[in-house]
Amino acid sequence: MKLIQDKRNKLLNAAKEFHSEVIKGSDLLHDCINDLINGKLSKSKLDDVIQCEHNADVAKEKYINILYSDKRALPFLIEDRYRLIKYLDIISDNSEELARGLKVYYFSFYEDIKEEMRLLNDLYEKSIEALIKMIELMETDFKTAYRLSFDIETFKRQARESKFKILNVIYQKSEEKSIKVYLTSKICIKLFDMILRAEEISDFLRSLIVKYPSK
Amino acid sequence: MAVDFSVILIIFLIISIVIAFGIGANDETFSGIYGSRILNMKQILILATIFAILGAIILGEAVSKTVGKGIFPDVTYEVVITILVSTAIWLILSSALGLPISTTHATIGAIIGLGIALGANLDWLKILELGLWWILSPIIGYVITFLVYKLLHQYKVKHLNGFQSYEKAEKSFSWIVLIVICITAFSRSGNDCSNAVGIVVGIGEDIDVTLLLVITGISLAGGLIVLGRGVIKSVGKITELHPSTAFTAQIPTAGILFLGTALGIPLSGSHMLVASLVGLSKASHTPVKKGLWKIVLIWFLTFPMAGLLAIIIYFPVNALI
Repeated sequence: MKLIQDKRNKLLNAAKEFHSEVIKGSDLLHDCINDLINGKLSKSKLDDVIQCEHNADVAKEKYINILYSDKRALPFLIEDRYRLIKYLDIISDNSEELARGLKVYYFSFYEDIKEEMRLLNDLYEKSIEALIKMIELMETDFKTAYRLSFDIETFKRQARESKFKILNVIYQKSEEKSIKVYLTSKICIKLFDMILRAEEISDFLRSLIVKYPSK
Repeated sequence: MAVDFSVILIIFLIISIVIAFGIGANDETFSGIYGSRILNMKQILILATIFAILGAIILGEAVSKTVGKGIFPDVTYEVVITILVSTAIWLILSSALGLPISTTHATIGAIIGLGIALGANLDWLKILELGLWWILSPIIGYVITFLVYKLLHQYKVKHLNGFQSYEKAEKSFSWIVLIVICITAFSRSGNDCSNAVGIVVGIGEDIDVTLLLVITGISLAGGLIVLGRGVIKSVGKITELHPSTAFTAQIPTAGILFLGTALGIPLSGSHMLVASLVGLSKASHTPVKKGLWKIVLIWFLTFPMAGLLAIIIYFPVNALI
């Protein structure tokens, strides 16, 4: 019994390690985008985001090894947990990609989209936090996890509004450098894509909650 | 010309091996374990082999069951062999296609076919009663599993919350299913081996029954390993299974089957299990795999084909004995 408990704790600890790296990465990226908006983006902070993604990869591998080392574990739970970590890893990968994108962004941010960009950035941070919380709740409390999924859906709707407001402004800047317009729109789209991905994962979690019936 | 006793013994031994092989080949007992992935096929075959041999040695009575008694008026030795061999052949053929059939119904089909061919005065009322159970077996399996699933679902909704509690519950179900299935395989092997061993025991008194039981036990396991895996796979994949739903499909029906056997009701385990899995898929809103019609078709073909085989086999058997 103790052995089973130890294995479970080992798995949960590995999951926590991975989640904390993803959260750390998203917090750092959130700060970097705010810094970009305020015109004081630090490249070393972007390197920290990239480092977080690498750390998350290591934690993910560790988690997968523990997940598959238990020969007596239930196959369907292994598959669902594996799928979950793979999906979350995509968000982590996207944050690295955006951080790398920000490294090659040499322009000052457009004044007229700063507020909307801050809003979109905050929604990104909130979505990732809610998603990680939801994933952790899946282990013990489906009901609260299910409720959280609707918050993420709301964040996505708000984020979509913001995205198109931003795009609407920057696509009308015909006199501007096209590369600046392109890269700024890319930042906005990438940020929204991560929120969208979070919402897709929460949808997947919701389908799991239906699959495992509870109150 | 008098035939040497050892030659007769070898011929009968081969017949009993074929019978045991056929029965083993169509044994779908472990399909729930496979479908819910509690064990993989290799582990299942090892476990099935152990319980087939143990069941044969410990439970296999060295007494032939009088196959056909109650339906066939004069059950002679050649009639028993014909019925068993034709049943075994039909079991092997359907197992080669990966389709589960009822051993009981194949036997009854053979009895009817042979009875008609020999102009025997068959007890048609008894046959009608058996036919009724042929229809009722899948209905009982379907209804029971449907109801048990709904009850289990309610229990889950009330008591389980989160992956961890599911993991705990499903693991408990895995153990229950595994233990009950192993006991079923053990008793089934003992029961089935008596059919195969009985005909050899009947030809002489100086026969080592234990050795015979080991041989038939190995033949039963051989059938399972060579052809049975296809049947286990095809039944185990009828619908999506978890340990708890495998429990729902297999354990209550196994209980009813046991009760039916005790009361002398000829329920078919195979029919009940397949219908249980369909009932489970309906109750849990999960899809049934394509090709279920093949199983139903072979059920309909079992009576005429076993009967036809019995007619074909009877004459060479009669000439031999």
